Amino acid sequence: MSENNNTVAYIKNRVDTSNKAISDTTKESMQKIDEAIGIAEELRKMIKREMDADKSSELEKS
Amino acid sequence: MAQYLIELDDVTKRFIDECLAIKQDMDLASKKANTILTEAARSTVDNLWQKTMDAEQMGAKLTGTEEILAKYLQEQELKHSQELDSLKGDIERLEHRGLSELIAEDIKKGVKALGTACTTVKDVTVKGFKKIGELAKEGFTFMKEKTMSFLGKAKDGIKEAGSTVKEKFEDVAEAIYNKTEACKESIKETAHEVGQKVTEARVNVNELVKKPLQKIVDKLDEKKKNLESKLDEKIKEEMDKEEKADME
Repeated sequence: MSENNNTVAYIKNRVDTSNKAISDTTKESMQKIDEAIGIAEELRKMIKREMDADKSSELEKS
Repeated sequence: MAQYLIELDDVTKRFIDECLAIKQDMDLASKKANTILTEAARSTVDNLWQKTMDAEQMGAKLTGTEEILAKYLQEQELKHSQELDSLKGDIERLEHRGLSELIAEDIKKGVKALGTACTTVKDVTVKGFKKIGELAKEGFTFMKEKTMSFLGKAKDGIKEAGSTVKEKFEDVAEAIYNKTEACKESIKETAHEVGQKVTEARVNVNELVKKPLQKIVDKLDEKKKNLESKLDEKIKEEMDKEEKADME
């Protein structure tokens, strides 16, 4: 029976290690996507500034 | 220019939405992979325990046969005690040495198969997710560079070269679309591959555990029947002898 207990512990350990590796990679990859979203948001701000500048220039002209 | 900016802002917003959806898909795929692995482990452990219990139960049944034989031997004081001793020895060998060795071998095979399954699922998922994260970042970096370049050119020469700027903007939009599609495809492929590999691994584990242990149980069952039949023969032989003695 102790052999069985060791086997169960070994299996549990293997599964835990694999699950942790998967979770860590998911987290790491999601951080990359968040960084990417940050770049996109920065880009949108830049576009907004351009749009505002465009509007001001149109108003000045009129 | 304002129209281009509105369109560009819309594409950026849609790409952000796509990325948020990718994040959700990845979270689901990760949870699914974890659940599949945990279930595969639980199924293997349950299987090993169940088969060990079956084998032990069979051993207990044989122990019962051994007790009957011993009782019979004691009560009838048979001359063939040597033969019965040899049968008892066989039971003992099957119960202790042979049985435990075969089970240990089987457990090793099951664990090895599960270990391979864990490594495969982990490798497939980790590799796939890393690729997805990199693709998303690559997509946005690409988008930022192209947009900044587009804005620069648009400022300098939108009136003179409007059509060229428009074409370039369409290239950016197409590239962004392609990258988003590549991310989505990668997630689908990863989830499919993970599911397939784990199913294959789980079948292998179950097969590896099932076949050899069933063989042991069958062997023990056959041995038990042989012992019972020999016991019946001896009882019949004794009864015949008693009948013959009575007749005489």
